[in-house]
Amino acid sequence: MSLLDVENLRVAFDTEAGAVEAVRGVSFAVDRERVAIVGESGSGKSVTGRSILRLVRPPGRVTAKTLRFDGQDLLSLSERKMRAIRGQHIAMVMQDPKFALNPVMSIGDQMTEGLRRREGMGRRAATAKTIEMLRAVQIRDGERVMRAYPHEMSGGMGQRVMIAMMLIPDPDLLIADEPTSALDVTVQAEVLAILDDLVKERGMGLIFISHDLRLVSRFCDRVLVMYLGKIVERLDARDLEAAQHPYTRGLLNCLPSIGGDRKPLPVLDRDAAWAE
Amino acid sequence: MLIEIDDLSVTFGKGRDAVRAVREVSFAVDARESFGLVGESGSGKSTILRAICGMVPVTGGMIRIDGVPLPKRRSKAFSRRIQMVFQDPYASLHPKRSVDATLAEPLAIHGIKGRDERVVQAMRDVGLDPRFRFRFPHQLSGGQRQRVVIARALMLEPEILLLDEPTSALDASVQAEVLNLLSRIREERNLTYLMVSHDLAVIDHMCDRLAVMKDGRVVEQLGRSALASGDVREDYTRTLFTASAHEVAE
Repeated sequence: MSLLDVENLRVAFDTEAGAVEAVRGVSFAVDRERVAIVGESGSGKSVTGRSILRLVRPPGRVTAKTLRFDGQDLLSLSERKMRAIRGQHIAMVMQDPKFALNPVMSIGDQMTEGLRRREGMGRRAATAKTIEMLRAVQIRDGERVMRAYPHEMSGGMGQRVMIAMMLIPDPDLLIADEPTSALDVTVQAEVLAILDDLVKERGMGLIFISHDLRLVSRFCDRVLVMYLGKIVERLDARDLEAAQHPYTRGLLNCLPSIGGDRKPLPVLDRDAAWAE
Repeated sequence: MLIEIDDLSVTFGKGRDAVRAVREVSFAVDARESFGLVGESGSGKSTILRAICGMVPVTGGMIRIDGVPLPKRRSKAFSRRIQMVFQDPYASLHPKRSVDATLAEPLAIHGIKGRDERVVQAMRDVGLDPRFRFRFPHQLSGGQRQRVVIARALMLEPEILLLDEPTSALDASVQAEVLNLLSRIREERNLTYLMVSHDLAVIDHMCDRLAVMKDGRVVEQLGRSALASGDVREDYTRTLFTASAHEVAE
């Protein structure tokens, strides 16, 4: 049994035009390893991540044959028990710190909120622990950062704060949904390195959701490629160049490269059969 | 030189709160050339494009097109020569205007006749099925929307296109389609491109020469071959290059 077992996960949204299935029968397992879910917008990768935390709200409907984390059936847990899992055992880093952090709360208040409320820690102890966590994501002047508000921080700084915040309760599984897509390339590399170190050090499981196939291949152990709500290919990251599925190959080839030949870039010739 | 940027400065705000977004930047783009501005967020690259369009105040220096300094207010003649394509096609299209209305507006402003043929032709030119003519932006995909934005920029048959991160809001596969479209159009119409991107590989694919920007300044100008061979002078360019290293062709 793995840390997380997902079998035949389906997510449907009722719309005026009838039900739309965003995720159509996805199965995978995650242990204490780094697994990437890759696909284009609309492939269902983010919804897959959110449904693990039961963050898909009605009219969205989530069904699965199995959705088990650490031996517990996530779909049948009460909302209260689920709350105990969110953050504590499974944490999620969102794409854009600008939208995911509370704009009217200081960084310090949002970071210590969980410690103080859930663990009943005193202000001083919570602050000390938070500063330690900020140091782990390479923020040296933690005290100043804790007094700041989200709008006073750059994107890279905000994303590091969010990662630190998610790691405070020492979760077993971290879901990172495009954690570096809103960041500049040079900052991207830094944030990835930090995330990588922390995951390794703590022996967490990581689900890394991204649209960037090349990026995840450098960073993850395994890659699941999603297309229109289905997993079309599973690969070890190091075997990426040997990908078989035409969709994966298309995603790999359509990126321009420095010093390339400047011929028209290969475009995806989508085959209706991939979706079946 | 077709576009000359000479000692350009753009400052927002005053006194203590002043933000110097662009600081004494100079470069020049030849007719039919494709020139790239690359840098991270906040480096001032988009502000330069906006300054050319008159969307931000120029606080110092000079912008010349064909040797003639731009007038304080951009004229109709300006928009016939120079058009801009913005980053986020959803934000730059009017949500309540159909493709038809969006594409016909520049024609109406400039009193150009033959609306029907021109709109349909413009859609064909950018690879949009004319059946989409009466659709609204929310009924189109991201790639289709960006095609509409490009078609709108081409309605007045300009000679210069200013491209502000035209593909960074798009999926990689759709980015390939839009970049191919931009390359084809430049070839067919002998256009001059001034393109802004944070993605070194995109700039390298599209441009003959580029300028690297940081904190409002141009730190280095180089040609494509220098970039490909990694022959760069400045540390910052190297940092950027290393961070994009997974994009280097084997």
